[in-house]
Amino acid sequence: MRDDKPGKEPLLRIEGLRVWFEGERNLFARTPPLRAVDGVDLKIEEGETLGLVGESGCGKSTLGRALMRLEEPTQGEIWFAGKNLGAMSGARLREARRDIQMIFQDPLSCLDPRMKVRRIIGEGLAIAGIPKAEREHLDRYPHEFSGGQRQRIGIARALATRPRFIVADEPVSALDVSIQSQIVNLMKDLQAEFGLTYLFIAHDLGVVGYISDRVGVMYLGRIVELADAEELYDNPLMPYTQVLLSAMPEEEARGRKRIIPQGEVPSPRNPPSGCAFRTRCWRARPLCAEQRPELRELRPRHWAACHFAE
Amino acid sequence: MNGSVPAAAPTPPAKKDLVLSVRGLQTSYFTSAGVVRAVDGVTFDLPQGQTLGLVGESGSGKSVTSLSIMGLIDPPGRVTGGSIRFRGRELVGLKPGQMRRLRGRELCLVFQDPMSALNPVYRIGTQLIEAIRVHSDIGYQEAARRGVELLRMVSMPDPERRMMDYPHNLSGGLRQRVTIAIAMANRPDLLILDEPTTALDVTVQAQILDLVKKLTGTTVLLITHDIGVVREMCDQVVVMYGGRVMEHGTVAQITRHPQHPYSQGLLASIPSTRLRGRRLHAIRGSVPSPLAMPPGCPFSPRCDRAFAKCAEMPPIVRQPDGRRIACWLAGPDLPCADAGERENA
Repeated sequence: MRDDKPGKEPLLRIEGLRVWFEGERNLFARTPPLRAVDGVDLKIEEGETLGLVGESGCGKSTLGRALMRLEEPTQGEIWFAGKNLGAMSGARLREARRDIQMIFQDPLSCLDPRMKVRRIIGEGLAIAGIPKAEREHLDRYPHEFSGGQRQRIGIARALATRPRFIVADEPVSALDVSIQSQIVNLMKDLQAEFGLTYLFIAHDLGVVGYISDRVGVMYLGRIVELADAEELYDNPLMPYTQVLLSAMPEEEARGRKRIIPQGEVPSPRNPPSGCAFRTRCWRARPLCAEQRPELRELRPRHWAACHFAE
Repeated sequence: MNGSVPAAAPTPPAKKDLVLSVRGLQTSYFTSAGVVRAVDGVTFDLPQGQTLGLVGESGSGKSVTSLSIMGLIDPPGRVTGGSIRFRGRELVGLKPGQMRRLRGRELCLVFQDPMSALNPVYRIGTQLIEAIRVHSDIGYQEAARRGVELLRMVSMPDPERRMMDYPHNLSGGLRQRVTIAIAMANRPDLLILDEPTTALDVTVQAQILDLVKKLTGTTVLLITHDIGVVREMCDQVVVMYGGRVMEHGTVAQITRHPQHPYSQGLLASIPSTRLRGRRLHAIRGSVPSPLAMPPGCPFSPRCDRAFAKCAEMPPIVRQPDGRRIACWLAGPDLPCADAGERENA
């Protein structure tokens, strides 16, 4: 179990992280910036799996990429193992980045198609549980593998530097169910063996609820609710989380009333004032437009950003 | 075990109520690397007003089955055997012109990616009006009114204005609503939905599924890999693997008490919060290449309970509870199967 003693430094600490993508600016257009990540504070403890859910465009992938400094933060700090990643550059950043690796949804996109697997990963194969007899695979190219095997190669590649922290961005969403469970089991085994810490980004609430210790829900660039997985799924406090969970197929059959939100997700270039969800929320009141709700600890270890949640 | 068949079982109802009746369907692709039997001996009935789920992983043949029904198999593929009866009329061997008249009017297919079904350079209204007028003899104004009505039926906000929009102006969920509106334009007898919500976010998926449920009276063939969607939407379920039907039963039979080892494995592989702390069931190995399907049961190389007999293809037999299953473990050699009826060997 993780301990929450005050003063203990988490493996990863993000403060006030913003990643904005500049809009077009010329004589004819002045598009406002796209606020992909808009003020996120987050701590991830060593050895835990933090799940991040949200719908497309909520900024969950950008957040993951920003941790790798694959996106440049506009503002905010990223502390990894006591070091400020945001202030690093060049050789020092490369060295720190060895401890942080990423697994992608489509492994083909991160595997060089012209490289044999031997060059892509080397020893990582053994770590990812590919038996010796199958190391002949080392001399094959990525396209020669099935989706599940490719994801194993992607994981092996990520493990080759012996990282402590892995950002997994939709690692199983492109896989068939029977293959998906193999990869999920593999990720759990590797975590137990190497003490890995995961940031598990996915839109599938089932997988996230299964694999994560804690789950954060993102909406329009912000974390709107964060709690231990079981607590979050049993007692969602923020209306958006309630919408999301009720939308899972078959939840209705299990007695959770489906809440269909009004309208569509607003543009992240022009988010609503105050609470970003207020335009679709059935509990919205004037206060929600005036003041942005901060994450509050409403129950032990259960944080929600809503003025009216209790 | 010779009890009467329960009412809930997928027993073939009276012939006249059947919208679709597929018998021993075989669709093959003749490639340079060899002949691939993408669909091999698929049989099921779909009665009026029901929703049948066709479930399987990639390569199971579920999409090829739907394309075969729509007559949309392109060379090097061809329907090489079996029969597809739609309202009693044989579709296999129908001339392209005859098939075209059925398609879009009586049989409609909605794809996973709405962008591939919508023409990017025409307004939504133009495409809707065309879909309506191509099969019925009404004027432009009348068709435009029907178009707005259809958009309203699929809960499109502000339908009059949306008629003037281009597909790229709409979000993925709204686009899928448009394709469903186009499919429903001529009140088809059979609506085939091929992974209609796979590309959509979960809240949008919920809206689309809700919409499909409201199309009461429509007979739906729903192709999906998502058991959750099946549970929510379907009356009966056909589980496919390697081009063959593994198990066919009511939604309760398949999703609560699956009997085929593959259906059991598939259901046990689905992660959820309830399974936290327990190891997920994993079906070992991966789907074999369609060119190298094992001679017997296609699932046998991955099956934990496979035995010598599985080198032969098990026939699909009806069980006392009404479900059909293709597995030697439930096969005619076991005592309980005396009541079973052999369908095809």
